[in-house]
Amino acid sequence: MSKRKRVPREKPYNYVFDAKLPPKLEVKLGEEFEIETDDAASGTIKKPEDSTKLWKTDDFKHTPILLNPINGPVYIEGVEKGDVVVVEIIDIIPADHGWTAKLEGFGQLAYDSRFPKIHERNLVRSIKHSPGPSGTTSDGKAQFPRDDPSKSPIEWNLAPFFGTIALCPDHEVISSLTGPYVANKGGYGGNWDARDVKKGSKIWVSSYNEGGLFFAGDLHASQGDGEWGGVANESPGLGVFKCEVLKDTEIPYARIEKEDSIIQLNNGRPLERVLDEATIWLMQWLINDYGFDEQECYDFIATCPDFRYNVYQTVPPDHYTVGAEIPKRYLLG
Amino acid sequence: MKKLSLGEPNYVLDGKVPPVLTVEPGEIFLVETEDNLTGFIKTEKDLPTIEALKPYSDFTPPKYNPLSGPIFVKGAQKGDLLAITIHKIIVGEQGASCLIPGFGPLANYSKWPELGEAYVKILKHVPGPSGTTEDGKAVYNHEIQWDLKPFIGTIGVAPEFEVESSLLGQGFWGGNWDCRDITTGSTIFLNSYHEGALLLLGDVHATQGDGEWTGVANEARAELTISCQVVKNKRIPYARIEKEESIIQLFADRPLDDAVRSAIIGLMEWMVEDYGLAPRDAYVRISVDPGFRINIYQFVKAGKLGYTVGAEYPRDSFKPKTSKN
Repeated sequence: MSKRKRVPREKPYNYVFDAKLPPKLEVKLGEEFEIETDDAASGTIKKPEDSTKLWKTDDFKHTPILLNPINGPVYIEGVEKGDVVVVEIIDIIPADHGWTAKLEGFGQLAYDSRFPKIHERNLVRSIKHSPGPSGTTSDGKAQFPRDDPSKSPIEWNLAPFFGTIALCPDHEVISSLTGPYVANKGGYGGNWDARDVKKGSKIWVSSYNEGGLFFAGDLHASQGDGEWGGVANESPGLGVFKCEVLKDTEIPYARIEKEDSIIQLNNGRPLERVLDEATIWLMQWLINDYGFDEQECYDFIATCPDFRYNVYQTVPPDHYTVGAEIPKRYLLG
Repeated sequence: MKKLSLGEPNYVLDGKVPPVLTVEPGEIFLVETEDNLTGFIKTEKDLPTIEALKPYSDFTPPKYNPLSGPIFVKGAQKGDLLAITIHKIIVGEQGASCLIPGFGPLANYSKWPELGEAYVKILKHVPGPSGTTEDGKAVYNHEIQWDLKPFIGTIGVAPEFEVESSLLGQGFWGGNWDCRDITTGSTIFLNSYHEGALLLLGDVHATQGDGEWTGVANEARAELTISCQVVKNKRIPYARIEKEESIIQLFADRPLDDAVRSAIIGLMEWMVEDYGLAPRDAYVRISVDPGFRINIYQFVKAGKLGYTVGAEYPRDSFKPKTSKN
C-alpha cells in the first residue's frame, strides 16, 4: 500500500476556519490522506482533576473560547468556489482512551439545581478504548467506569466520528467551536457532532474557495443522541479521507450518503424549524434526483416507517444538528 | 467636528481592517452610513430580483448591510466596555423597503403568491420643524405618513479573532440587531476586544415595525452624530442600552423564548451588580412591576440570525416611593 500523506498533530493548534491560512497538505481528487487530530480540550485534560483547571487556562480567556482545535486546511486540487466536495471517510481511529467531563456552566444542566451532586465537582471520567477485530480502535470497545469501583464498567462498541469537519467560509472567519453554519444556500460544515460523519460515510459540503480548504477535528469516540451533557467521549485520533467533487453544484446545507441511506443535514435553532427545513430539502432531493412526484413525495415521507429524524446534537447555546434520513432501498425505482 | 464620509463599505467586522477614523473619548463626530443594499434601490423600478442582486448575493453570506468604520476610540482596550451615545440621526430624503424573492416569512405562501415576487416601496422623507429629517415624516402614500423614528440597525466592534458578516453576525461584540432603541438619546454598551475597540456601524432604519416582519425595514442612508466613552475593565452579558427613562438588556438568539430568558437574566445581573438589588428582589420585581417591558425588536428568519429582544426596566422603579394616600 502506498504511503498516504498525513497532516500531523502539531502545535500551535488552529481554532478558526480561515481561508487565508496556508494549506498544510495538497491532495488530488480520489487520493487518500490522513489527518491527526487532538481532542476538544487541545490535550489539556489528562487526569480527573484537570477538568476544573481547564477554565483557568489561557484558552478560556478568549471570545469564543478556544476549544475544538481543528487540523488542516487540506487543499483539494480541482475544487473551486461553487462546487460541492464529497468527503469520504475511509477510517477513524480513536486513541486508546477518551474522556468526558462535566464542565462548569456548560451543558444542559449547567445551572440546574435538581441534581446538586452534578455540580459538586468538575471531574473527568476517563473511558478506556480497546481494539476490535481490525486490530485498531476503529471497531473497538469502550469501557465506561462506574463511580463505585466494585461495579464492573459499562461496555459498548465504539462508534467514532468527527464532531467538526468543514471547508473554509467565503468571507467570514469563524470559530471551530461555535461555527460555521449557513442555512439555505450550501453549508460548509462546522461543529456538528453528527454521529453519521463516520467511517463509510460520504459528506457533501459546499466549497467557497479554490481547493475547498478542508479541516477536521473534535473526534468523538462515542456519543449519545443530543450530546446531552455537552461533552461526548472526546479523544485524539486519526482520520483517513478522500475527496471527490461535484462541479458547479448547489445543495441546501449539507448531505450525508451512507452505504444504505441518504441524509439531509441541517443545523440551527429551534429544533422544530431545523427539522422542517431538513424535510423540505430532503423532498427536493428526492424530487430532483430520484424521480418522485411532489405529492407522492409528500405522502411518502409521511407514511414510510423507515423515514428517520436523527437528532444529533442539542447543546445550548450552539445550534442544533439534525438529519432527515431515507433508506436507499426505496430509491431504486 | 470630524466627519467620516461614505467610503469603502465593510461587509464583515474584521479586527485586521485598519481604522479610517480616530476619535478621543467624549469627542462628538459625524458618520455617514450607506443603506442596506449599498444604494442598489433608487426608484421603484430597481427591483431586487435574484439576478439583479447577484453582485451582492453571490457571496455567502451575501454582501448586504455595508458598515462604516472601523473607528478607533483612544483609550479603549480589550476587556473594556465601549459606550456609544447617539446624539442625532439624519436620514436621507427617501428610504426603501422591498420584497426579495425567496426571502421573508411569506416568500413561499401560495395564498398570496405576489408576496414572493420582487417589489420595491419607496418612502419619501420630509423635513420637520428643524428643517431636517431629524424630526421629519416618512410618507407611505398620499394618505398615510408617520413620524420618522430612525435607529442604527447594525452596530458592533470588531470581534476578538473571528471575522463576522455584517448581515448575519451577532455576538457579545454587537451585530445586526435591528433594535429600535439604538436611537437618538440612547447610549449603547458593547464589549471591546481590541485596542481602540474598532467600531463599525450602518444599516440605519428610518422606520420599522416590531419584528421587521418582511425582513426589510424602511432602509435609508443617514448621517449620525455620535460620541464614545470607555468604561475600563468591565464585561457585560451581551449588549446593554441606557435610555433617559430606562435601562435595557439586549439579547439575540433563537428560539424567541431563549432570547427572552437570556435578556431577563442579563437584566437581573445588572440590577444585582450595579443597582444593589438582592437576586430574589430582582426576580420578583421583574414579575410584578408593571413598568417592566419585553421588547421584540426583530424576528427575521435569515441564516443564523437570532431574534433580538430587550428586557427593559424603568429607572424610576429604582427610586424609593411611598404612597401619599
